[in-house]
Amino acid sequence: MKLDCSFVKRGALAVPVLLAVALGGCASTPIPADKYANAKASVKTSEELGAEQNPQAALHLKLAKEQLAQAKECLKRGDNDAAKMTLERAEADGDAAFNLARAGKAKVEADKVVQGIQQQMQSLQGNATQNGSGK
Amino acid sequence: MNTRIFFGLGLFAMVGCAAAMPPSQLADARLESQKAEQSPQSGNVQSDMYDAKQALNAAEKSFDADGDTETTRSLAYVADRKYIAARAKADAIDALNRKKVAEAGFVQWKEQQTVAVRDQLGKTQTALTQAQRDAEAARAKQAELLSQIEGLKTKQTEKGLVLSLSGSVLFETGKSQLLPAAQKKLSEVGKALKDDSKHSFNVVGFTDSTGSKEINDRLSKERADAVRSYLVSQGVPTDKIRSEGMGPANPVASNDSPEGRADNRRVEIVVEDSAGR
Repeated sequence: MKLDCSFVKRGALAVPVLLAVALGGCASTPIPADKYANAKASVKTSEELGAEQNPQAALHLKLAKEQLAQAKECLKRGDNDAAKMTLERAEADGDAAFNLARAGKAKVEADKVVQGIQQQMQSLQGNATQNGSGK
Repeated sequence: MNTRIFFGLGLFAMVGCAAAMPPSQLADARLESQKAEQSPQSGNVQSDMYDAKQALNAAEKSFDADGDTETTRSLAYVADRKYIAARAKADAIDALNRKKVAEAGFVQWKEQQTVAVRDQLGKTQTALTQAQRDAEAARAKQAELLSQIEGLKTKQTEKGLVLSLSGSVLFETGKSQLLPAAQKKLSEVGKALKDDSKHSFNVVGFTDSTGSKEINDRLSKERADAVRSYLVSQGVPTDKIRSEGMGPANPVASNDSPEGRADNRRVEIVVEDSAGR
């Protein structure tokens, strides 16, 4: 897939894209050094949390990764403004992926615990009833 | 003039329409912000909600100032994701709380169950102790009653408590008719036995070795029957008491002396454990 460094639906608006790239290239300002690192870390942590296994989180993880690659491309071309915005979006998607993955896991865990407790309560109560009637 | 105003208004309306048309990213972000604000758990992620709100404000400001630009879209996109992340974080906290509440509830429930079981155990133990005490008291009362009966010998054996009455006290020689004095003594025995629900009783008649075995067997059985019937008439439940004649078997003394023979002529009442039968 060819990457350009603008934020428009792929192939939708080729001219404005080029224009924006060109303009962006002119108005470039230096980007903070940690911007790229933050976005990358955000992707990494959500990957480590298993965001790929959660459909909702996986979508945001994919978007984050794509935009990270896009930002690299922008940086290569010296389009710092576009890179900065792309990195902000990548980081936001990475964070969303991380939180969605974590919420999914927490829900599964909570359901498991609640169900386990209900089963234990039923079996304990069953024993108690048996003991009671056995007398 | 009128036409001009009309035209102007029309143009204004059209421009207004165009200006009010936000990019999809901003529409999405606004929708996410509403969802997040309405979520009951959003209070748990106030800091994240604040950040998301700031991001949305920046996007709105950009849209107001410059319209549908790439910056507006990008800012709105970021705001949208921030709201999604905040809502997910709130969901995670909610799930964690749900788990904690369930676990704490379970601990409490188990404690209540333990207390209930302990209470039940205490009651059972109290009841058991009381039952044991009652049984002990009944036994003591029985022993007391039996000990007051003159001429009644008691002996603890593996079959149970054996009460032994001398034959000469109960019957005339060769007969199986109870003597009046014997009736009085047996009434006292009946009093001691009739309320004892824990045991059953076996009345066993014995003779000495004088005379034919056949006669002795029959006589011992008849005497045991007489004692049994009398005890039943005194209130000992009929299904709790049986009788048998052993004749000269199981002598307790030598049949060579008159004293020994007198000891061998006897009726024994074996107090048996009901459970063992």
